[in-house]
Amino acid sequence: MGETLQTLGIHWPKLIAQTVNFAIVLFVLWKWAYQPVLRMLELRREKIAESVAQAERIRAELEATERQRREILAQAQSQAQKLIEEARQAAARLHAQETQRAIAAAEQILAKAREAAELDRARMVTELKREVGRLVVQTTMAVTGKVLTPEDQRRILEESTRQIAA
Amino acid sequence: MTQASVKFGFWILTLAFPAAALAAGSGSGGHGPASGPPVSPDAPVLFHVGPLPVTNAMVYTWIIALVIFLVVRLGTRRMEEVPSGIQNLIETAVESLEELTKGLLEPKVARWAFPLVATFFLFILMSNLMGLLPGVGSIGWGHPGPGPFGVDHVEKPLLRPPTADANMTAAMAAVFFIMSTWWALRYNGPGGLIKHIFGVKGGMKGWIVVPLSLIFLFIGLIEVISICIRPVALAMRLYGNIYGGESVLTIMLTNSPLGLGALPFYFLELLVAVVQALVFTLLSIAFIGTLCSHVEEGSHSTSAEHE
Repeated sequence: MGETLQTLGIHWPKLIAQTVNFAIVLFVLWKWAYQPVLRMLELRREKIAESVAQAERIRAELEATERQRREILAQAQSQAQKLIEEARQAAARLHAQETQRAIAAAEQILAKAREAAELDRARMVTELKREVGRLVVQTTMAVTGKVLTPEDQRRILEESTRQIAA
Repeated sequence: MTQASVKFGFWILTLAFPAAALAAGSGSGGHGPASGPPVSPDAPVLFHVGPLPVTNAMVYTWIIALVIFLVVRLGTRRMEEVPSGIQNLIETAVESLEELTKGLLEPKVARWAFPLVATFFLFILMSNLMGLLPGVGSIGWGHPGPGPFGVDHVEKPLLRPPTADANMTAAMAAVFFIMSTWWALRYNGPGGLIKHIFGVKGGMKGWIVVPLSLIFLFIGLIEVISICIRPVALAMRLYGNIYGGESVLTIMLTNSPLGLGALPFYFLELLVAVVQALVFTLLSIAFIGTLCSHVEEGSHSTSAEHE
């Protein structure tokens, strides 16, 4: 055992010195490599987790906004549809009213025209009767060659008027 | 070897200095004196600092530690959220090792063990790779040879990879042993650790426990021996592989024309450098895992429940 150790050159002072050397390397790596790197990795891990959470939050907000936008859009569309429907109904109502009014006016005009025509006709018929009566009287006077009395004239006039009316 | 006969020189037997390789190869006709191995099994002492002998492996350990320090400081001095360059490299290494540790150990134990096992990997990898640099093991003191700085065989290299020094591998194994025992005690408690090693496994109850406990006592003793042998195996495996590689490279460099015979072995050693670092690290993690787990207890409950 002792001979093997001697052959390999293992001696306490060298062993302790190399242990100290290894400890120094361990300290150097721990102090300036592992600690800062692990800290940085942890920091990065936290940031990534935070970013992921933030992205998730933004996604959720975006979804909510999108949902809200769609709702508003749907609402607006529904309102617009309603307004259009109302406008259409109002227009139809107005159209009907105006049509009714126009029809009434036209009927009124027609009635007035009919009435005026009736009056004109009546007046003309009256005038025609009177003229025919007068012509009958004049013809009678010319044919008979005598002067008719006012009474005869009136009677002839009434007679002719009655016959015309019949 | 007297001081007068020893000369400082080099045979960087790589493609960079083929002439030197030729000189060294033809000068000695092999790897130096036939009395010893091509590379000394122990790291030669270069000088003393008081009572402390300083070996070439120690000197190279300091250089490697300095390189690690400079690279790490350069990479993590001004850390940015979006990594680039050396910071990226360091982050990748640290994160990969952390994931490896977390994947094989329970979270609590992984937190304890990560710095040590990660340092095992990074230091062994750096040491093995830097051991393949030209000049390491080929510049040093030896018997005068051809050329102004030529030596027949470098008997005392200026630099030697720390992992080719049994003191360093033993030191790392000792640190592993002490720390794994401490974590096992911390995780199980003293009674729990004894129960973990010697206790009857499989959830047996009743009279059967009495004969089984004798069997498990025997198994526990074997387990204790296994636990004690683990650091030795770790240290000797790493040392043997790297020292063996150094020896092969030296033999091939000095016994082939222009040292070209070593070229395939350099590729092999590159592979060995990474594999050995990984093997030491993975075995350390696995050994820690066997001592710090509750797999056998109860109804196969994982220790995550004990967190």
